[in-house]
Amino acid sequence: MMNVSRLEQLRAAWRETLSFEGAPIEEAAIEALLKRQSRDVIRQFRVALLMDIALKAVIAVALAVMLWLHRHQPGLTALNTLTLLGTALCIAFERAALNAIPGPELAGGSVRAALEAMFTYYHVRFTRALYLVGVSGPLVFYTGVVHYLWYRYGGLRPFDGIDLAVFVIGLALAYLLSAGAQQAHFRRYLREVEDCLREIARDGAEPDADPAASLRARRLRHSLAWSLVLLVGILLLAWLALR
Amino acid sequence: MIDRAEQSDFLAKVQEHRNIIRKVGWLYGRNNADREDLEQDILLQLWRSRESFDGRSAFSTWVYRVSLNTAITFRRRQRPSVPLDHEPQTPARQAEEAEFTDELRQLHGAIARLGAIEKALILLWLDERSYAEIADTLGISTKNVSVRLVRIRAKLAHLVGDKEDS
Repeated sequence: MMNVSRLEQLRAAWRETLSFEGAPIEEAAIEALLKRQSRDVIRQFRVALLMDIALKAVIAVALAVMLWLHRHQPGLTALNTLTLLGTALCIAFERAALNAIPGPELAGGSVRAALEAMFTYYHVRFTRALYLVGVSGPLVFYTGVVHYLWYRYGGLRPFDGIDLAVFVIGLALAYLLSAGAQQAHFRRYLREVEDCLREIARDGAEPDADPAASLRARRLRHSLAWSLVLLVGILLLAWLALR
Repeated sequence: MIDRAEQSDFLAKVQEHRNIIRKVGWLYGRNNADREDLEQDILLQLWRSRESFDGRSAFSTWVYRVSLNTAITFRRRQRPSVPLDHEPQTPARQAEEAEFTDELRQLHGAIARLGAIEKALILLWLDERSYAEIADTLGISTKNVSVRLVRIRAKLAHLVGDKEDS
């Protein structure tokens, strides 16, 4: 009698399983399916960016109104002009990140190529875009506070030290909460992609055993650079408001 | 607007390979609801990326690639919210799963312990795809496929209690 290993027996059982054929896919069902929104991560990237672009567009309108309301105050005019320009730049950058999202053709390539493309997109474009998405928090806080003070008191009185501290802390908290929430939302997916990349590179002859390592180092450099930009921005804001 | 003729043509091709979609769903889905979601996502992804099929490889190879990429690359994996043994099933699912033998359930239990890429390798091996096709689908060398399959099969054999191979 032939000696058949257990694994080969299971493989034979696999081959003979007719249930994998399942019922034929009906045309009506597929029509409904094709109109459905996918829940894949590419769509989640797209939704996150589109929602934020829409929010920043509303903020830009609010800033334009503020610019007009405070047109006789040179300090605030300069600050609002800078903020409006910064918001427009953020929208432009996020739009570029949106356009760079890998297309559906990626799915037809190898698993390794798709994983690398998603990992690279995430690090090179999406992470930077998320820092800008986080800017929406302080922008909402800033426009909200200035509008409130205008409608409540008819304008802004000069800030004293405590006012400024509260304002700067409010801005910083709004940024940390907003950017932190976005980063945390996608971090788990990134870890899963990293794990798969490590798994695919394991046992191979490829020299780069951990393709994620260099990109992780780049992410750290980006984080430091953006933190520096944020710090300079807050200091500039403080200086303009103090004048 | 969906082109009817194109849709029918696409459906006819996919019908022939729907077992691939089912198998990927069965191996990567955490529970029945997740499996159905994954199968629908694969179908949708196949439709959306249909233009990426250039005819240089077999249609089945392309279906494997899209299905595996949907399961591995484009999906954020969910933690199961309902234990596998106690989840509700649709009557159609119950009828289909009743046909799964104990052997298949044992195999599934063992494969569930493998990593995402190992699962892909073993799926292609179970389906008797050539090493060249497996390498092409995953983006690794054929030598690498051979080395890995030896290790994964040994691991799997150990998990299913195959003393000879382990």
